[in-house]
Amino acid sequence: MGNLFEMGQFGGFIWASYAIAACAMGWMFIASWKRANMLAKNLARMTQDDTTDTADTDNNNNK
Amino acid sequence: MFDFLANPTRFMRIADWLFRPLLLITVVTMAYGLYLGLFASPPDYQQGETVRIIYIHVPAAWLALFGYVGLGLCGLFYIVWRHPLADIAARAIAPVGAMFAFLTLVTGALWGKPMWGAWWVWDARLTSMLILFFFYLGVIALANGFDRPERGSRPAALLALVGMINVPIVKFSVDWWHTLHQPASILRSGGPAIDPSMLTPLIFMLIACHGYFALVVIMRMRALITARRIANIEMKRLGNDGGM
Repeated sequence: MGNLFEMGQFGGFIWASYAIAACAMGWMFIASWKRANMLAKNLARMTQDDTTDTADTDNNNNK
Repeated sequence: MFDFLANPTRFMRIADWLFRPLLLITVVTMAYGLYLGLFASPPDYQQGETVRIIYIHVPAAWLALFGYVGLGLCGLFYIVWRHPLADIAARAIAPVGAMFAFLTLVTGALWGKPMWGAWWVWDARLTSMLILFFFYLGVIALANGFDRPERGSRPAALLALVGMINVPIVKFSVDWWHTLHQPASILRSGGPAIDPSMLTPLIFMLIACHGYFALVVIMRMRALITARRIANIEMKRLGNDGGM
């Protein structure tokens, strides 16, 4: 196990490369995923509000 | 073909259909590529264990270049045809490409210190990659530097096109000048110069990183299209309120 982390005394450089890449790629993926989902939910809510508003207006007009 | 794909609604439908298979391919190839690259492949006879850094450095460098070509093409489509989807694609690609350019520079420095004895040298390949990173930052800054986002689209597209000049310089810098950076070892006449035991993990990581790039760009494009739809609804609501 020790050899795995040491990697012939270059472990620090190798693991740092992969750790930085994992952090950057993970952050970019999660941030993009969250933003896309949040906006999709907002759009769905706004579309629903519009439908409700239109239905309310129609009901009021019918009265 | 471009007209067919350039419809945002159709794009969203195709993106939805592609997302899950692409995610599966990316996860599987990434897991296998990492296993081969970190544990199963042998150390290099000259570089020793540090050769393992290339399994993330090379895909990052390819995607930094590939992303910029995509950015330049989007810039061209936007300037010539003024298609909003080209602008959306450029805005989605730029941060992902910038991240890969940044990773190329950082992983390159982490490889350079033990191999060359220096974190950084003003070598033609390294310097042109740094310039590519600055072009990415410039495009992002221009695209987002205006009160109304659409005002930044044209200057950002123009800068993306100007930056295309740098792409062949990055690629061929190792052939045009005497550089410390090693010459091309995969895409070269005579075939790859890498042993199959090292080429296999590299290919898996290249596939995985391309899949990752496509996934993130799709998600970012979906977010941008949705944001524009929300902005349109808000504008309509404001218009209706104003008309009352």
